[in-house]
Amino acid sequence: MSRFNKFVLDNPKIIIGVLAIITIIFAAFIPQISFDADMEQMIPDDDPVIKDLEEAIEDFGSQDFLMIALRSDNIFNAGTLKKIDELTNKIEKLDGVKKVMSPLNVDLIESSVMGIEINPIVDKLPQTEEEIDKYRQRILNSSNVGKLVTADGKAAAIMVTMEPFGDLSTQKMKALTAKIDKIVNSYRDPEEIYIVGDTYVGHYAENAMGSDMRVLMPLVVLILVGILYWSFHSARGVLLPLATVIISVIWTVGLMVILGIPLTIVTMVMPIILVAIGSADGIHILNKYYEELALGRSKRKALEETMREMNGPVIMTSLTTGAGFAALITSFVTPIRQFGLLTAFGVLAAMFFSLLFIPAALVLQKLPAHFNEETREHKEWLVKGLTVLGKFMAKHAKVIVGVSAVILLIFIFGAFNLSLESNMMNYFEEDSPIVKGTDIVEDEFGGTIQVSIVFDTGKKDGVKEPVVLKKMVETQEYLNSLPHVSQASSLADLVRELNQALNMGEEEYYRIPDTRQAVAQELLLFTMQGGSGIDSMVSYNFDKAIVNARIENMGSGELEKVIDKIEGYVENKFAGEDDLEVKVVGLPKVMLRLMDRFVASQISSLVTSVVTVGIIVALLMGSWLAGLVSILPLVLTVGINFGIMGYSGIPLDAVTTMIASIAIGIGVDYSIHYLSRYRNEIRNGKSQDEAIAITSATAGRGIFFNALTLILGFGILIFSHFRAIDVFGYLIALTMLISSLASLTVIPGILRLMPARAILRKKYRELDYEYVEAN
Amino acid sequence: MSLKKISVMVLTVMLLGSVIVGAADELTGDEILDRLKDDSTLTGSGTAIINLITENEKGEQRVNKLKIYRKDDGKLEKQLLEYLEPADVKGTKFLSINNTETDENQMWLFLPALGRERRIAGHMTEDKFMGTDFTYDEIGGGQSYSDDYQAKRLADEEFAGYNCYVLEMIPEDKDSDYSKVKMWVWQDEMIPLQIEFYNLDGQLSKKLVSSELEKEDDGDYMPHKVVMSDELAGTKTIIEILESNDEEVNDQYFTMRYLRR
Repeated sequence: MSRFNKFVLDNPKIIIGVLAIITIIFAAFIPQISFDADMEQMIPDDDPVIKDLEEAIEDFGSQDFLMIALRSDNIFNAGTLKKIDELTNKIEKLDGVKKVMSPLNVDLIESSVMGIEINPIVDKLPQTEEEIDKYRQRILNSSNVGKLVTADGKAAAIMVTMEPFGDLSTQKMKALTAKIDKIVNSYRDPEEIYIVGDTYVGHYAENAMGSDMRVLMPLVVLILVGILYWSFHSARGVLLPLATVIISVIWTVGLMVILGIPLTIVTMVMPIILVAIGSADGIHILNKYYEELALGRSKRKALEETMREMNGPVIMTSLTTGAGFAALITSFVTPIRQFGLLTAFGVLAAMFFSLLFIPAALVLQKLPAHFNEETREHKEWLVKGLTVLGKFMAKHAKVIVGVSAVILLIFIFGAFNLSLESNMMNYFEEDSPIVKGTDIVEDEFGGTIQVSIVFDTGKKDGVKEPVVLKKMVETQEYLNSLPHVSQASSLADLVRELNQALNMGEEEYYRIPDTRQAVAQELLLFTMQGGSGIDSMVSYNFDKAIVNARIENMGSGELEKVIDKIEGYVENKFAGEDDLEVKVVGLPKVMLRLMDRFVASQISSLVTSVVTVGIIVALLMGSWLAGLVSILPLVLTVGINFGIMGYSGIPLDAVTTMIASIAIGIGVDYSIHYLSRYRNEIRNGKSQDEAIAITSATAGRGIFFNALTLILGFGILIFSHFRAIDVFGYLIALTMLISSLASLTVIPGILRLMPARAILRKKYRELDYEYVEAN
Repeated sequence: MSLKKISVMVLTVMLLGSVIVGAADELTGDEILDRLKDDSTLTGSGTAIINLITENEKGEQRVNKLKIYRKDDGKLEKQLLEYLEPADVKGTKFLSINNTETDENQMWLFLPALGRERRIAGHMTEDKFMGTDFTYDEIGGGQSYSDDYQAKRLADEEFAGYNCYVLEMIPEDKDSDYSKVKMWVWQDEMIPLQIEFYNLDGQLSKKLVSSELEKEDDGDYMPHKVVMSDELAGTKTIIEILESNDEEVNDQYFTMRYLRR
């Protein structure tokens, strides 16, 4: 017996005590866990797209806008106007809100015979029919149509600008968004009122993640308890594996907090699936222990035997599963790398506890009163079924392999239809307030995705030059002419508006004045008059200005076409200019950058996981052929997965790109269990057909329970609030089903078509030929 | 805004110096505030050249140089503001004439690039100071402290080398933006040198510091630099008084003709 095993069995109390202390330390960090739902977090900080965006935020303030959209049959009635007014006032009073612009408090720049006036749209809330009528005419004749109200009077928008917070902003921003959400909720009905904007998406996503964790964690634990009980019929059979996974989840989540990794839509899946994955080791160890006890061995003897037999497979399957997750480190997407790393750690932690904690705990426990003989009989049907299956596979090996190859080809063909998606909006369920609110804004006011074009003149006051402003006007006109793009706006609008107002309001003066002096003086006047909002359109030194436009919410593939057009235009128009740098920035660029890298990330993580897992199996089994055979069911699995995604239009996104690597890391365990047992049987002199029948019945039973746990464990993710995770859940449950089925069909098929001993270690292989010749 | 208020503010700063020094050791907090009020009442006329500097949280500055003419005959408050720098707004002028009896306020603007004067009107954001984030009361209105606050005198301190009374002031108005205001007043001249404004969460939100006190020809001291900083946002408004003079201003400055010149 190895020294490790002896140490464990001799010092159970020390081991459990030390583990308990470390677990408590890790657990102490967990309450500080943070949430993050920002899309920018998906991309590494040093990526040029993020740098451009951050620079723009530095110059022009946050790109986040928060909008409250209200829709009813007709907003011009006393009740609805009162609601808008109260909403505006309440939100304006919140700490951290800089400015609220609503249809009731907006200022109009008006020209009079004498000069210009900046006047509020109404002096007091219009309540009588006459007042409302007057107000309607006034606002519907202003430039606010399409921005704050719709021409048909069915919808209104309230724009909220937040104070620029310092670096500690996130917490405050979240608290503020929560308060706004609460206020808005109290005014809903009969009007539809929704909050739209990235800050709110973040707020909603965080709540959804929190509630997902609260619902899904207990659910997955419940499923595990159910399966463990079905499998072992005893409290300890349930408690030991359960304790193992819970400890490993605590360690991993604790580590997550220590490393400062937030829960994101990607990393939040980790604790849930760790429960499902981490239980496998405990199940196999207990299974073996009861098998030994049933043979009439003493407790100590049974434990020694269990550890000697099981340490190998447990370490091997954990290493391969860990490798599958670790392969995600090659991904471009930050949360995926974090997820891969953490889950790999969690899997190894679970292995570590299974090898330490379970034997230690068993030493301290009394022998169970009965060894579940009835349980074994109870599942006789399963064993019988699996034996029949194995025999069938051995008999029709060629057919099985051939059919599998055809199936693989059909699905790989479908994989060519795979689409890509990086728009976070598509991660939410159709009936979530996020999607509903976005739909209203899209219907009534045009797009919700902001894109910006930064004009950098490189010198102080450069954007006051009429030449530059005129170029901005041209760019805006171009943007508005594009389908799916609207609401292009910039400093140039304000200058034109001021120029018109200062020239008696005559239509022809809605243009950029001819001299820089005129521009500067008009802007000075505007500021002196109490006009505000310039800071979000131009940098403090007036060296840079920004043109903003909104694009309709659509898939990132469609978005790419629009952005390509805009970048093409900018390139064409301004490439030759020495003293003007024009750049497209914004969230759409982040999305496209992500999308751009999905395929590369997918390929790199897929190849890494296949190669690493194959090599690990080959090395541990001492046979390259074994490595190759173990991978084959996974090729089929991954091929079918991509095929299904391609045929059914499920896109490759931040979450679904993880499926292939995870499926390989976990799925190879089935192959390993099957191959190990089969090799044992062959070495013991069984014929191929016999070996296959026995292996299908014994290893097959373990595979069945293992797969069942994982299918149900991943399957519960369909109850998530996020469409992306829901899809991820059923796809990965499906891959578990396919890979476990494949290991029970394709592997026996292939093994039957090879010489019996080809897959053994070299020394046994040679033995094999002598053996064959001798017989 | 306030075209009007900017110069009111500047003059407040300038005139804060004209104080009567009294035997003040036994003064209570409220009495000290009263002194401030009495001593800094806005009257009179004069001219000044100032730099109005706004600074953002990154330390970038926008500098405007202005000349201010002011005349107050008790009935009409007249004021002309003329931009000297930057070059592209040079010559921009604002004229305001406020009739204190009828409360009628007339304002004209001359933008040289557009060639003629305009009358401007309409609602001004009453409490904001020239497009900065500061309210007029905060930046200059020493006169209203005794009405708006109850002061408690704390132990005297030295501030920037001056002996100061230290006051802790609680707003009387329940709707005030502040929970507390703390003021350092130079004992010799009764000039507030530093005022701290605490928001409702008890955080220091804004700070006004007057410095570069110099003795004027009339023997009174006047701060030549006033800095209002928003401690939370990290922004600043700085006023530097480059020249000042309280001689009577000729009426011709407050005419359309001069405006157009």
